[in-house]
Order: sequence, then C-alpha cells, then structure tokens
Amino acid sequence: MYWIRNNSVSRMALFPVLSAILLLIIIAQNTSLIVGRRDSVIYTYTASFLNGNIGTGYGLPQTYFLSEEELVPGDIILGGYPGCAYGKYSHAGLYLGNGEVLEGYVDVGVSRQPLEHYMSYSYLCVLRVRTEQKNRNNAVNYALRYEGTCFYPVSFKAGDRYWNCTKVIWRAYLEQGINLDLHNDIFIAPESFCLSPAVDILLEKENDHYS
Amino acid sequence: MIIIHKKLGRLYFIQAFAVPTVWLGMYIPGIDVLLAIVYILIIFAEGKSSMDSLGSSRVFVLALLWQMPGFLLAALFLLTQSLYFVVMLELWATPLIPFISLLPKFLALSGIAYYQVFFAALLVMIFFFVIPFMLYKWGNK
Repeated sequence: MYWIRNNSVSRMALFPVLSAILLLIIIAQNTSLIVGRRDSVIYTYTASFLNGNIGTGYGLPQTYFLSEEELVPGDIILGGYPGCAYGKYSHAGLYLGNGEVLEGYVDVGVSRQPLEHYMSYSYLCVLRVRTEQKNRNNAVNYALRYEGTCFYPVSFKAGDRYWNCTKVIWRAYLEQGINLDLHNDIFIAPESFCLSPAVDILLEKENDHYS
Repeated sequence: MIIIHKKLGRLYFIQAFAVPTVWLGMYIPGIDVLLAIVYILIIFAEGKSSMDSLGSSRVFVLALLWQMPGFLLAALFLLTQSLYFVVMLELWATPLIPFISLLPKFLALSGIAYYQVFFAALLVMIFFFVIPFMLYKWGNK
C-alpha cells in the first residue's frame, strides 16, 4: 500500500508489467493454440477482425419455426448471423424443457429465455449430445445451478464466477464426463459444439435469403 | 490545464492497461479479485495525490472526464437499447467486474448485479474523488 501510494511511476507501470506476465503465462500453457492452430477461437477471431468483422454480425430473422416437440432437455441450440467474427454461430443455449432455454446473455447474465428468442437469428442449429437422457437431464440440472451468475463476453474456461453462453453448456456436459470441445481451446465458441464428435446435428436452417 | 491533461493521460493509461490485466487475471481464478483490489488502491492513490496538487473542484472535473466513456456508453445503451453498448460498457468496467462476480446470487437474479455495470463509472469516482475528498477535508480541519 505504501509503495502504491508513494510511487507514481510504479502506479503507471504496474498494470502493463502484470498484463505482460499474465500473457506470457497463458501463452506458455497454450502454445499450440497460438502457433499454427487455425481452428482455435483466437485464430478465427483474429482472421475475422482483419476482414473487418468484430461482432456478432447482423441479419434477417429465421423463417423456420422451431417447436418444443422437436427438442428434449439438454439439447443445444445455436443461433448466428452473417458476418459473425467467431464462426457461423454467435450464440448458444441449453434447452431446459417447457419452451425455456438457459443461456448466458450479455445484459441479464445466465438466465432463462424463451425458445422463440432463437427465431431472431438468421442461422439456426440444434445439436443433441450422444448420451442417455439421464445424463442430459443431469447436465441441465448442473447448468441451472449457475442461473443468475455473471456474464463476461470473453470468459476463460477456468473458474466458476464468469460465464458466457458456451462455457455454461460446456461445463455442464463436462461434469457428465463429456467434453464437447474437440480442440481443448482456452475459450469455446458456439461453432465448436458443431465440430464435436459427441453430438448429432439434428437440424440446420438458415433464412432463405442467405441460402 | 496542462497538469489536468497530464493527470487525465495517466488515468486513461492506467485504465487502458487495467482492463486487459484484470481480464487476463480471470484465467487464474482469484487473481482477478486481487488485481481488482490493486486497481482500487491505485485509483485511490491517484485521487489522493491529485487532490493534494489540484484541489477538489479540478479533481472532480478530472474524474468526470476520465469516466466519460463509461457514462457515454451507459447513456447510449439507454437511448438505443443496443446490446453492443452493454458489451463495451462491461469491457470498460472490467477492473470492477470481479467485485460484481462475488455478489450473492439472490442479488444477481434480481438484476441488481447488472445495474452495477451501469454504475461502475460512479463507483470508480467514489474511490478516486469522494474518499480522497473526505480525507482532504478532514486533513484541512
């Protein structure tokens, strides 16, 4: 405290030094993601950024109506827009049943939202994890424990205090012994779920305008 | 005026590096909270030293100018309801997000946690201006 209070140069230099140290630690533990891994989230985002895409993209809403009858609790629903910086899909939710989806959303954190929310996306995908329904139900119950927790857009996989839409789903299934991230990345993007050999793609739809 | 610009530059420099540092600290759970505490200590120290050299009214102006991006982003979200502004506000308020993440769930479920993000700029001003101002007044009695 004395050192921070009485040394103005140190106050300026502290965060740059700490961020460099933390960056080196993360790089040292994840070198394969930084060098030559073109399927990492970091690479995907950087490539998109250099092409002028930085956000979730924009587009027309879905024309397909996804009904509850097509889903079981534990299904993963993905939504996306053209121009998304981190893959085809920008958002993911875990179907709870009764027309509700658990998702991490930027203004309300990990929360329940209506299934109809996904009709606003141009691209829609439904995945079913290849496991018994008992495990899907357990994943749902696990994810519900984090309802109300903090959303942070760039959440690392580690820790229980920051969640985004994909981390809560990934963790819920990891607790059931199913790792949905084929690449073991430090982040997980919605599209990573599509690539997992542990899921079946039940449905993939896009607004006719983009077909 | 030059001194205010210099001080403002320092504050933006600290903020610009505090954001990625606290974010990177989230990789190691617990480090982010420590870094958030360090951030509070640094801005308190900056406020205290500014109060001693500039006086309270200039420090208040400095605090407003420094946190103007936060106020603007909150206002833009309220006006446009575009969630991009909430994301940018959350990124700007990253040094305080660890404290929000520690709130009990019953508060978070009520939505209070999210309004904290909108008030982050005001919270920063408490540590940068209000507390040093009270200490300054106390010291001058």
